[in-house]
Amino acid sequence: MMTEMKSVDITKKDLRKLFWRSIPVETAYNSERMHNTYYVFALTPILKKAYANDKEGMREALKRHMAFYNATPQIEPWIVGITAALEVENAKNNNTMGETVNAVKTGLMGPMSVIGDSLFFTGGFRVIAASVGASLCMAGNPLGLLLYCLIFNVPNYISHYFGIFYGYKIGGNFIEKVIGSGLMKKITDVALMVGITVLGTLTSAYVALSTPLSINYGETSFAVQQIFDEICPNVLPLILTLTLAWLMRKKNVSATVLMVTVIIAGVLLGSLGII
Amino acid sequence: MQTALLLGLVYVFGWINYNALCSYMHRPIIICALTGLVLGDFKTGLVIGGTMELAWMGLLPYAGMVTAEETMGAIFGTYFAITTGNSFEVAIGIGLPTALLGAYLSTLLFTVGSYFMHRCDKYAEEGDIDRINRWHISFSIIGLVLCTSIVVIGVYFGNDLISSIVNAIPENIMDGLGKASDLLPAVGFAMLLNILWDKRFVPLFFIGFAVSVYLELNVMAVTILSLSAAMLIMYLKEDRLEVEDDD
Repeated sequence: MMTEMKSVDITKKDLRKLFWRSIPVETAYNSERMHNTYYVFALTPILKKAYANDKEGMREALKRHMAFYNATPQIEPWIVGITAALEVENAKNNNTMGETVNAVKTGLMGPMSVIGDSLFFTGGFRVIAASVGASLCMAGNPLGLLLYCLIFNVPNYISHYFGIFYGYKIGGNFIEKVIGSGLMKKITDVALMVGITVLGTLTSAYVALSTPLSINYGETSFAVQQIFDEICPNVLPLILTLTLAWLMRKKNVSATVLMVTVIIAGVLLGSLGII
Repeated sequence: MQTALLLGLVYVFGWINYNALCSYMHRPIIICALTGLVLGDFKTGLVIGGTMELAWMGLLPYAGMVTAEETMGAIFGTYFAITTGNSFEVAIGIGLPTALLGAYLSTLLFTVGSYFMHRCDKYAEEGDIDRINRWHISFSIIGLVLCTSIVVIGVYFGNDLISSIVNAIPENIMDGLGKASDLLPAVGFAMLLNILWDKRFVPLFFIGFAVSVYLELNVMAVTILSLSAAMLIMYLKEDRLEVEDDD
């Protein structure tokens, strides 16, 4: 039995509305389902058009998007764009694709966030922007603020823009196409490589740890720090950073606990003149 | 009062940039400079911001968990550092506990929000998209107003209290705080290293360390070199795969 296809006319103007509404990802964030009401907010222009005279379709769509959602904000518009295309397809096909919408949307959450986090959050643009910007600011150069803003936000808004328009265009084929071609894997690997290398440099440049202690052999005294410097300059910051990373990785110590411990240890050792 | 309100505006700027624009301009690097500008000491704010940004590099809301309210911490830290004597130790000493406290308040707000969010399930059942939108906007604004008033009230009433505490701290403890803040970046870098951990790429960490220690290259230089090298490696790998395909 063939049913007639419903026609839904999504214009360039609707997509522009979707773009603007897709920007405020972290508004009305809640602990239980995180970005869910944002998702409804962003999709509103598309849903209103797709389910214009279809109360049941709208109800099902709203229930779908009230579910838990969370992805890296800078990459989430891609998923919003793809989902918007799928919702339109669903409306055209008399609401038979609800499960596909859910599957694609949920399936994209993990892989897209791994890419998003390494590009915009834990590594990539944010870390480069912060370290380049902060080193200029510390030298009193306000140009650091501008560089920080541009290095992070030019890629951020390019991703936002193309996420909506390109994501909508490609709809469901997107994930096979991009992941199949290995492009995303390559971008992630490059971001990881740069991120890890820069972390090594940051450790040496910005963690300051040395000791003023000295050992006395009768008449002569010998500075302890000199021994460390002969092994490798800045070896103490290196050991500290790697030890902390090991505690987090292998012993599951939380960053907050480590931070408080480091502060207390620093204050104690510092005021006793050991470091 | 004027200062308190202006710093409230700085918080609004940070909130909008993080929550609504996702531009990451709510971080200490920007917020401390703005706080300095409000207090008439832009330069000090700028320097504190750069230092705090690096110290807090790894202080991120990870996987939906708010670990620190960086914007509040940056505003309070810079405000009390500049008004009590311009030292970075004070900025970190006040900023960090404030940021942690702010995180508890945010988490509380998000949890209470979850309870009220269940109303939207009813709206969804009724197919009423406009009411979900209205709820979304109202809850966003409530969050903004609550957090901003904490900043305004804290600055307005906290000044005398905090200055007397800061002045009562002995000299060598203050020195120790300085040393502690030198160590803090290690926690941030360790956290990032842990998240980015990929066995294949760990040697690069030591390369990054060595070129900084022995060749004294700065972060920008290392970024350019490692980005070029990483892309080169990718292309070379691609070529090799193509050659293998040809056989």
